Amino acid sequence: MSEQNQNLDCLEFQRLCLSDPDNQQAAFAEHAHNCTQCMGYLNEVKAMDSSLRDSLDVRTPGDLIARLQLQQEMQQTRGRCGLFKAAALAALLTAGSVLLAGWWQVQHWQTEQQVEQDYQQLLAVVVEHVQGEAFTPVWEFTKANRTANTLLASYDDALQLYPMSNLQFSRICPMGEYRGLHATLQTDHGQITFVYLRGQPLGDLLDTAYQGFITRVKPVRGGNLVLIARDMRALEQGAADLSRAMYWDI
Amino acid sequence: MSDSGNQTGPDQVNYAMISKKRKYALLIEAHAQDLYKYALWLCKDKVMAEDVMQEAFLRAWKSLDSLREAKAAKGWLFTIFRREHARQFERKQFQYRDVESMDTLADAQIGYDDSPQAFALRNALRRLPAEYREPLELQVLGGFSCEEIASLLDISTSAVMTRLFRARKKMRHYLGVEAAPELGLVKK
Repeated sequence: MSEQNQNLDCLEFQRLCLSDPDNQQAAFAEHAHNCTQCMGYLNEVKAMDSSLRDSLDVRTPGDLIARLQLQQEMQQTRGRCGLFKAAALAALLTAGSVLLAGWWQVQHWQTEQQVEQDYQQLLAVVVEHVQGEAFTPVWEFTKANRTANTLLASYDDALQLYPMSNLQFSRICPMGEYRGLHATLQTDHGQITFVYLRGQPLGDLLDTAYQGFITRVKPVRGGNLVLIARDMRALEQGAADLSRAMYWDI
Repeated sequence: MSDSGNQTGPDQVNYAMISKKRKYALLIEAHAQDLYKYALWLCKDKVMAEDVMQEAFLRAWKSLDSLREAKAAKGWLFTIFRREHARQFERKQFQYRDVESMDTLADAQIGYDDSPQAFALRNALRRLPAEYREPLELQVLGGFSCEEIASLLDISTSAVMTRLFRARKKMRHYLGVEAAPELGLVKK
């Protein structure tokens, strides 16, 4: 494979690939040219970088550029101002600091309250989201399993799913302020939707009825599993399927 | 000196020969987009990203005379941004902690690609320890070389390379591309 590359062996090449895939050294280019396996490795790393770059791509707001330009013009104008403005600014800053300190106290208290409220609302948010999102057509189940596993692993690399023949992967659901995996399972008694939400696990397993749905919130490692069905038997079967399939590779 | 008529790329401009106003305009033109992506990723919030960016550009304007070389402009600007972000982070730490721990901002709301693959990549990046994540962000988002990252982070180039190696290794592991911790095994 690489005997002909005296300057850089495959191990060194792959190490360099991971630290600097655009390395310009002649030995690096030569090795890639002569070793197909390493060239494949390099392409994989570059593809990951490229996908990562694309995943972080956003459009810069046009008005931000305008504001940055305007800011400089305002600075030029302000540069001519005297001490009076500096004193006024200092007074303003002092007042601002006092306000900020007060606001911090209020926010700090509100944060604790907010956490509790958010988890009380979790179920309602999920159900409303599921009602708003049409169930997606069945995907090829191997693809659904693969995608679900990739997503779960991105939350927690120990979290895995054994292949489920009845899994229908839907999509990533922002679900308002929550994020999680949203997928469906086809059972003998109808479809159930399950959502894995990363976060603080709730204390106990909780079954409730909500807007015609039967729901179950099940605390699991690293988050909560929310199951939603129209039929209790479907819920039980889906829950059992998931219990068998979900595991932590630790 | 007239500001107009300079047709060279932003990196080739002779900063000693142009006005401060033109220099500032070039900074925005050449680097605002990259910086915004970086800012949004770090701040996880559009308003906050724009605020920190505005503040950073304000500081850049104030010390623009110290910038002599166009090639150094990007690193210089990112350094100012990083310092400003650290300052804001320190000032508003309670807000960020809240946002991070509760995952309150959905990527789709920010404007990121919400495909499962894109989400998994961002999640994997988030999971990296900060010391590995930072150089990777600078390399992938900022387009900086290892030497430039070393200068930005004030560490040696070899340390940067080690961190980048570990960062990508972990990313591949998180994404299920590379299961074995040993180097050089590529899962087919």
